[in-house]
Amino acid sequence: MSGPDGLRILVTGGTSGIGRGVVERLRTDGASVVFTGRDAARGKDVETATGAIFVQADASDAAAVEGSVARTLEALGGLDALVNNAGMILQGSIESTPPAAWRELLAVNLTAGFLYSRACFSPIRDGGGGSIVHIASDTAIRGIPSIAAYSVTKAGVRMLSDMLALEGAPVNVRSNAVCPGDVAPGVQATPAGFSDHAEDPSNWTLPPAGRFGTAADVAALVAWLVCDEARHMNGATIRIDAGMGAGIAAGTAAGIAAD
Amino acid sequence: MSGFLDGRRALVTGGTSGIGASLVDRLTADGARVVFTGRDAGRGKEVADRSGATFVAADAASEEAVDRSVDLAAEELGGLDALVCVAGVIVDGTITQTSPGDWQALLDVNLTAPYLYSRRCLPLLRESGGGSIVHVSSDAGVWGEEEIGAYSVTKAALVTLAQMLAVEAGPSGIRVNAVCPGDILPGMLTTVSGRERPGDTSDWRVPPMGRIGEAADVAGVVSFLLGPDSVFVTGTALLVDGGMRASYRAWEANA
Repeated sequence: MSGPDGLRILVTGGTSGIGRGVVERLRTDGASVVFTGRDAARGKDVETATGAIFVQADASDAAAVEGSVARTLEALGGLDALVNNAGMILQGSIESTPPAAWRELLAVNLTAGFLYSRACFSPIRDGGGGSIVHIASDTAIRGIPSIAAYSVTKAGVRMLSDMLALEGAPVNVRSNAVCPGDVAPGVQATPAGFSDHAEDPSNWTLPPAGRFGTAADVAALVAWLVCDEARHMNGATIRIDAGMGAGIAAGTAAGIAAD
Repeated sequence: MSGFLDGRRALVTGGTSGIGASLVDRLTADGARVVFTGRDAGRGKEVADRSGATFVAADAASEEAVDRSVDLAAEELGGLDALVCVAGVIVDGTITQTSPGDWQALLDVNLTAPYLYSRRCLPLLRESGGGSIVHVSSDAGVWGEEEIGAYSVTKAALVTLAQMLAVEAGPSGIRVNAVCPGDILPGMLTTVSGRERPGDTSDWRVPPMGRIGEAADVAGVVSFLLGPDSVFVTGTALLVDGGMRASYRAWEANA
């Protein structure tokens, strides 16, 4: 088996953006997919469009995480891969980040990934092995001060992926961190009270290659990482950003060193 | 070295044991005026008596206690020039062995507390015309360690917190750095439950420098980062590990 065909996969935050793109791609490739999200209407849309199974769950709610994993195992009869994608964004500096928003960002971007990984690790291991893919961010490698608290959480995600890679290696559970640069239309979910902080591509700097990333670009990488063909990929941190993070010049253009 | 930090007003969190206590000793010896926090009043009094620093009882996991201790420090010292966040907790275990409760406690103390302390202190440092913040992370925040998986996650995020603060506070003349110690004798005493136990250091590997690190090794580096010789050093994650992270197999130097 060289592709995702036949794999049983859970994708968190699959109702929009990169998560939806991942669900679409994995379904096209023949995987059985359960995906989570908060918005039931969008969930139904993706379900209808892809044939994947929607389970409504808020990633910041530990009980909902546990419940959604249980329903996934029931629906798929086991699990081969987890894609930790659910996340939210907040604009601004550390000093401008209020404690409540800080805590919500940590809960969704970092703790949910921990809880999902912890709940899925043994089912994946017991099914003969598989993989966990974390959708981190280019900010996990070098932070961006205009989304400072977000960057902090993503640095944590990267290390979470590394630690799971070490733990999973002897039992054939791989863990890798995918670090996208700007992917249109950007992250739309935000902490409560900050809906105007959603990403807006009109504020972004176009990469030298002349286009922003798409969800499909990222989904293609994820679809490979979950496959047996990627069996030697473990503990990797992979930028997917059209080269923006390759050096200081492109990084400056991207606003990494600005403002 | 006396006088290196003459007149500097510093707040140190987690100053009642380990690296923090050694740091209080060092900063006061260098001439700084120091307020330090901790949870254990008995140990706090010991460190205060021997160093001349002022102890404020505060649990770094409590937002209210963070705010109160900063306010008390500013009042006691008449302002603030430096903040050193040392308070931290550790849990032995891989990611999947870590309970959700321990995970949250690690995040609260090792990451959210430094965020809260920094945010509360930045206006005070600005009032002083600038200053220096040091976050004590870990070599596990640079390359993580499976057996302290969740701890490694919090320390990696802490490095980025220091870097983001360095960028945003730089224009105010405020420097922010992370220090990443390797294994330091006698080992961290504080677990998330608040239980104290001597660190078991029997299986520690020896770094290229030929000995296990001591708290004073780290205190010296922090003193440098607070002082006049490091005025252009900011946004760094400085390893203080005897060379252990210089190679995947650095311990083989003394094997």
